[in-house]
Amino acid sequence: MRVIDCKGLICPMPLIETKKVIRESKIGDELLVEVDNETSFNNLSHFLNDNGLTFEHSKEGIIYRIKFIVKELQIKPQENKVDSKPLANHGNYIIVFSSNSMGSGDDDLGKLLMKGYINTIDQLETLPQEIICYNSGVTLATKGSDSGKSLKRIEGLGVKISVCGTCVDFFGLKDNLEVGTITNMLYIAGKLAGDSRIVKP
Amino acid sequence: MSFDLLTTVENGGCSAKIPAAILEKTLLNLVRVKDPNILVDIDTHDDAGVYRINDDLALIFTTDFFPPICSDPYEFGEIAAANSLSDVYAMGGEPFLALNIAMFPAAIIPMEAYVQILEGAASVSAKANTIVIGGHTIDDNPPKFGLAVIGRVHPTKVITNSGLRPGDRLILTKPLGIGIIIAGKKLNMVSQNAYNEALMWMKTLNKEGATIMQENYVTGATDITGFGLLGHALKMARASKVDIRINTNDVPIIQESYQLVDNGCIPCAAFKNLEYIESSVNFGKCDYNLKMMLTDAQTSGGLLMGVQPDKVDSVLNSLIKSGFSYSKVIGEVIGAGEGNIVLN
Repeated sequence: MRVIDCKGLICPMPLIETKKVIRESKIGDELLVEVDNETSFNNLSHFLNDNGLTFEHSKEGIIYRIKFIVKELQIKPQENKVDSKPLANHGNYIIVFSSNSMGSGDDDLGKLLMKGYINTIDQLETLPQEIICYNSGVTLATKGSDSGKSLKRIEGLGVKISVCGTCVDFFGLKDNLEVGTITNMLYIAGKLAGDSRIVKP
Repeated sequence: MSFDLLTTVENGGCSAKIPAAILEKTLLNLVRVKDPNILVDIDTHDDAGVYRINDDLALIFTTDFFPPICSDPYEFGEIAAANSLSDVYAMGGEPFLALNIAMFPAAIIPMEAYVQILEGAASVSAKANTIVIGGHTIDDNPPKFGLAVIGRVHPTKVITNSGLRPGDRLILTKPLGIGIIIAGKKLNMVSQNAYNEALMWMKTLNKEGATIMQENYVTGATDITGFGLLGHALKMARASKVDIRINTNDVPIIQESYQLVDNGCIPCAAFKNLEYIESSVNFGKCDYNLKMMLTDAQTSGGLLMGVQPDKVDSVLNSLIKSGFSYSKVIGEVIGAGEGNIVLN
């Protein structure tokens, strides 16, 4: 009989350990789980009952012992739910908007290009992990603006949008952001130094 | 790295709620004040109280607060605020005023983290056009945070738990699995992507959902939080005196959450919720893992709304355009009944 010692563990660890051992076992193997709190005991009992595994239990002091014989689980997981589809593909890269303009030369053209670029992001095959805005880049996240709405749509696809707090204060946008989590320089510096590629349009 | 708030709690977010079964028993004998202007009180277990001021205005009043659900203090503030504001949206209203409600151990966690919590909450409140007008802080560990919120709604346009109509299709606007992902995060069992996705959904205001419901004559809705999809669906079915069917395969879930459940990562709160709903739900041949996903406690979850069949396309289009890309019809109201749920 194999003993699964879950003393000192709290929910959901005892169930995780038990399930791991069930998977490693053969049908007919006898298992004994030991837990030392009532919640874990209740949850394990519920799990075993729901899966058609009959068990015996005993209690000694604060230790609960649950004994059962492994059989095939009554309801097997559905193949098609095992790999729930991620919202979108995310590449290992971060887009940085260091200004509200794309490229240098003519400022008006740069703003027009930037608008087009942001509108295109959600059509990319792999989306960025994150978008970081600083300096005038934070104005792209302004409430009611086209770029703000586009960024919000991109956030809806699971892309984190971070904006520089100092910059938001500088432009007086604190109460006027459509989207974005305010971050500090330590966070931004950490991201720029991390192992994600940095894309700066 | 700022202080990791997840280290302070076993059960954070809405999973820290007192189990529904115990709460209901406790509140049962509370003396209720009668007033003709009370449009909604705890009788129907709604998301908020609603009080009629005049023929054109009713106030929605609600509070929600909980221990940390994520590591970063600023993000905790954002999530707690989005979650508190959500109760107003779930009733079809528009929030406009809020108070911070906070418990924070000043001697244990750097006060800087508290500032970040407040700033996160302020930023989300600003997105909701809501003014945080003050608050109250008590020294206590682990920290807890949330808002008390006042919203406005037209007295004839209040959307409640009891407003489901036979034939309504049930639309859910955010994926399930938030509690599972956070439990997995504490045990280092999830990818950063899945964790980020859970955070993103928790921070997302149900603001557009409220507008879309009003535009499409929705009368019954709630937001999915601590009692899980089945817990909240059951409260709606009972309050509306209808039976409902949920097609489990259509319920949207966050990436990796199903796999986590299959590996045994089922938070305690899911078991508590299961005990509450078990006797009123016909599980049919529902897969065990899915069943536990449907009882998973959500924090700042999506709206579950009853939509007339001819409005379904318009509602789904508007939701998806607003960034609620997972929105889906997950079931329907079968007909008048005692408040039972059938799973397909």
